Amino acid sequence: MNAAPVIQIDHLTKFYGTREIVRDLCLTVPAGCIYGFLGRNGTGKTTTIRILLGFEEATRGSARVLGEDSARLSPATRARIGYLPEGHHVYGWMTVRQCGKFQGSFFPSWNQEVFEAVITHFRLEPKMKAGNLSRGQRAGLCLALTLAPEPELLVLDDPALGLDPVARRSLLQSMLYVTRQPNRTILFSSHLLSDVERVADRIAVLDDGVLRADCTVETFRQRVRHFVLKFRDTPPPTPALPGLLESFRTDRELLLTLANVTSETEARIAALNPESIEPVEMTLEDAFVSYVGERGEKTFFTRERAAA
Amino acid sequence: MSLGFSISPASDVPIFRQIMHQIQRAVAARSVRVGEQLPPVRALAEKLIVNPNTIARAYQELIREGLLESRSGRGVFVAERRQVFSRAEQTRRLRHLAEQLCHEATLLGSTWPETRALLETTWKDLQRKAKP
Amino acid sequence: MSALVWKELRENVKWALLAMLALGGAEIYALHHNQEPWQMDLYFRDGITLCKKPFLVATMFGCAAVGGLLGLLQILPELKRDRWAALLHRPVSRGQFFWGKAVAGLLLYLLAAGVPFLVSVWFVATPGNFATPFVPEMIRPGLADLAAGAAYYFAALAVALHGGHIVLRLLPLFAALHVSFFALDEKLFRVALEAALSMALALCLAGWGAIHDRESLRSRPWMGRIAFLIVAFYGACGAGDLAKSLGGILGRAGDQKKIVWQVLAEGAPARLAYVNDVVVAATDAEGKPFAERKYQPDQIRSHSLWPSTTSLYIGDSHGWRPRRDEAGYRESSSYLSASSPFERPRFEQWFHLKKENRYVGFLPDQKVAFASLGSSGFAPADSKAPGFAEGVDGNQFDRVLAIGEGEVLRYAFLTRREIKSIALPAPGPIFGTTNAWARRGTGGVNFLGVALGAGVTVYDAKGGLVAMLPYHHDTDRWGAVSLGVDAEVNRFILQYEPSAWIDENRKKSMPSYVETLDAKGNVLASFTLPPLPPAVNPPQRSTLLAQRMQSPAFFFGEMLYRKIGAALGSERLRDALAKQFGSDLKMTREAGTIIVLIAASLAGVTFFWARRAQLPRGRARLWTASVLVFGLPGFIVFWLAGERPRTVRCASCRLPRRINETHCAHCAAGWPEIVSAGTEIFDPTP
Repeated sequence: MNAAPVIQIDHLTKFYGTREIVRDLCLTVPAGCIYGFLGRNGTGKTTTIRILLGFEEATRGSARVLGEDSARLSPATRARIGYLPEGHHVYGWMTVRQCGKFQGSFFPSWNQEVFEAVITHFRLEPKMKAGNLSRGQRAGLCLALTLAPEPELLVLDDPALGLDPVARRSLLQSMLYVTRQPNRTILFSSHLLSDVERVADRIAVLDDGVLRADCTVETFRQRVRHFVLKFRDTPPPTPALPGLLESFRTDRELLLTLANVTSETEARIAALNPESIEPVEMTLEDAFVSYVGERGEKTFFTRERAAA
Repeated sequence: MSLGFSISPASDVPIFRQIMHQIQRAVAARSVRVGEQLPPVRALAEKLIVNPNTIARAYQELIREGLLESRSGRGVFVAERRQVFSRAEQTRRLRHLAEQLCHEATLLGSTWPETRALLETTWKDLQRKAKP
Repeated sequence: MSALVWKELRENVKWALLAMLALGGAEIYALHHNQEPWQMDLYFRDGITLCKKPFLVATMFGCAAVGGLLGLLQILPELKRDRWAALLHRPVSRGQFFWGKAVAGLLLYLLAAGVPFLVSVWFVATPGNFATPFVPEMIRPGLADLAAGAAYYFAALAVALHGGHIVLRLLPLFAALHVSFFALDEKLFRVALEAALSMALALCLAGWGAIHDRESLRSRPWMGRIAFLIVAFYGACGAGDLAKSLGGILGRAGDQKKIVWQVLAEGAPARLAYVNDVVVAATDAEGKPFAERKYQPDQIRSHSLWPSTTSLYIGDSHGWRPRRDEAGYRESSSYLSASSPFERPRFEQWFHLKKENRYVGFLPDQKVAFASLGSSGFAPADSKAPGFAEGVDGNQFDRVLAIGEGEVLRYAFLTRREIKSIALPAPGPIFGTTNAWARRGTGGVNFLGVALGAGVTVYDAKGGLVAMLPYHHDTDRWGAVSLGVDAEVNRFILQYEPSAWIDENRKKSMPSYVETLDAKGNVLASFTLPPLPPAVNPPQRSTLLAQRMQSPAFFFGEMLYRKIGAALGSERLRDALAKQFGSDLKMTREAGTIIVLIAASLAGVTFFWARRAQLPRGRARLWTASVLVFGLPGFIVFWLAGERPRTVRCASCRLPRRINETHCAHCAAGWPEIVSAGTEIFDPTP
């Protein structure tokens, strides 16, 4: 096992103008790990990834990739990193085969078999013009171009964006295929929690540029909990509970979503004297939505919330 | 051996638990027999398109529960029946499931005799399947 | 690398082909434009073929546009965030991406701009297409434009690759503009070409630097940084050039006034006052207005004699010689000139080739040279007949080409293809010849005036001596002699002006003379024309502004350069220096003071600003010094270089603090900790 972490982000801060996009981010990605990078749009995921690959400069702090400062990646290190930027750009005038030839001329470790396997998987013909491909096929081609150099580290920026379910499944299969080799690391950002749950070992959740969670998928699910409190009358106002993510009031119920519930928290919930307390299992997606969604008390109608 | 897995990631049950349940059900229904080998982690992961660690975790949990056993270097097999839970733990687990069944039955308007008859039939079916 | 070049070629070849067709069409059209004999200007004032103004407009603007567009099209479409990252994420150094693009782009530029030019040259050089000779040196202006176009190509790469403020991004373009202005003004081809190529190189290196880091200079290689500073400096100069020429178009400050002597048809002098090239007052030598209607300001120019310059000096040249390449490499007259053709339809058109020092003749309506004329007489055009041994002064009139060469005057009779030496009534050498034209009816009669040491002799078209006019003034000092012939061909006018070798300042205080003589050389009338007040040309406001916005380095540097040059014997620089400290002394003082004041106040602003923006003291001092030396351009560079660190308000002391430093420079506070909401979920990585 390679002991050194593949990615080490140390107190990384990035400003655009005077706006803080990423704030004091510390993250370590060990070798052989599939990391899901989550967060709402515009919370700094893409910026972090671009800093990792040396396309943007960090304002403060540092990022190291494969042991090298990411602002000055040597070509040799770059050859060990596969990067799939958002948008899946291809040179439209090239055929699929030419795309492979072009990309292959840069990478000493190019594996034509992998390239062919992936394009076959996505049902691409070598003679197809890249400009005429569908969104999913283009993603397949880009993925093939990214995987064929057999990178040690794969960084995928929202790879599933705009893909149909079939293409998405192929994408996940390709990601698992990569990790057949020992010590292959993947960092991918996504909005599709079901994909993340299938393949990720760990997740990192960015909220407004701040890292709010860095744990295994299982830990995340265990630590975000949802309770339904039933009352005889109108439920009392939501108390200031530690770790409260979301609360929702109806006529007779108070729905609470909490992170890091302790026995003390449970006691305080019980002190509200509800008729019944029912813990409810959450899907990863629900947990994520309550986690990065707006905090505080909600009702169905904004009018009522304004009145409250 | 037939292990017709189906994984639903958008469920409120974690994937490793879904896999565990399905193996438990298959063992209980004798569709995998004692001593039979389960698919290797890697192969099952690629078939189900889930992280291999998730499969490994499910196997691990079942090994801990005594349903499966790992033979070093050869893989994971369905274990000889043996009791790993204490009497109290057994009761606790069953009670939990019984509560759930009774809740559902009440909600669906099933009477106790009806429910009991259903339980009996299910029990017998399971025993019959396991015999040959 | 080769894959990159291939990709760039394949992606952009369509633009190059399109540009090639457009530029080729424009160039061939410009060559053909007004090229038919009946449309041609008799004096070829627009230049000849490859030096023709429309053609040079096509090459200058065309090469710049093609180069610039190719550069932009190579970068801009690929500059979208993810597409750019997809291109650059390859195990190749950033520099190699640039060179891949630059090599391919330069090849495409040569295809787009070089091929049309080569075709034009081939078209002009092939006999049968133009009724003018082809001289290989005539490709020079086009070549200089081609080189300047390469500068525009690299400028476009740099413009596209640069991030940041729009003005900062445009600096490379302005630098290319500056080299265009320079090449346009420069007389020497070699200097213009070198300037264009060096600027192209600097722009290329600036672009190469910019691909490493689009925003800041810090992480660029040092060569790229230096190149950027050079480009930024010349960019500021180019912006100044542009402002100057725009100002010249937009704002005229005052009227341009001048007073000149004019010889009237009768031989008497008149004093004409011009305002903006229009005669506003005409008086006789004593200053009295004329009574005759024909001498009123609106008509007097039509009743003037217009003597033509016969010599620039007589006798000793006092070390003076015509300045080399006075016309500049962009003028066809530097390579060949049409020997004055005065009649229409033209009988034959002869051209003097400067370098070979021989004549080449074209028959009317024939586009192939039919004959050559050199020291060995007439020869077929294709035989490389030897040229004349010494500098010649030739005049074509009627059907004669009169050639003065050293001590000998020859008449080449074009109808008979015969050369005859004409006896001179006085010993040589010949100081110059001219075509003197006497009005007769609606047309005129041509005479040849020959300036000798003793006087001016006048010959008719057959070589017969018409008049011998001895000098009556000190021709050593008043050796610039002009000859006029009156309509009846019985009175001849000689005008004596200070010789060419006399210093411009001294000329201003010297009178000039006008004499009317008969054919025998007897003086009929003589006038002394007192020196005239110098022309009053108030400098244009924009010129003044541009002068005062100069950097002290340039202003005083130029002064020093002129001083050194004058001390080393350059006449042009001596004249410029004399003007600067003579007639323009007041302006020079004013400009110098204003420049120093502006630089000093900008330096103050720079220091204050730099310190306020948290720049370290050393850096701030460096910038202040550079603004002091380079003035406004230096200030613009400082403003644009983006060295000022970004700041935000410190949470504890409310003062601006640098965003890239961990501690506030004022109160040493760190950054506020992230407030835990109690919802964080961390479990340590295994």
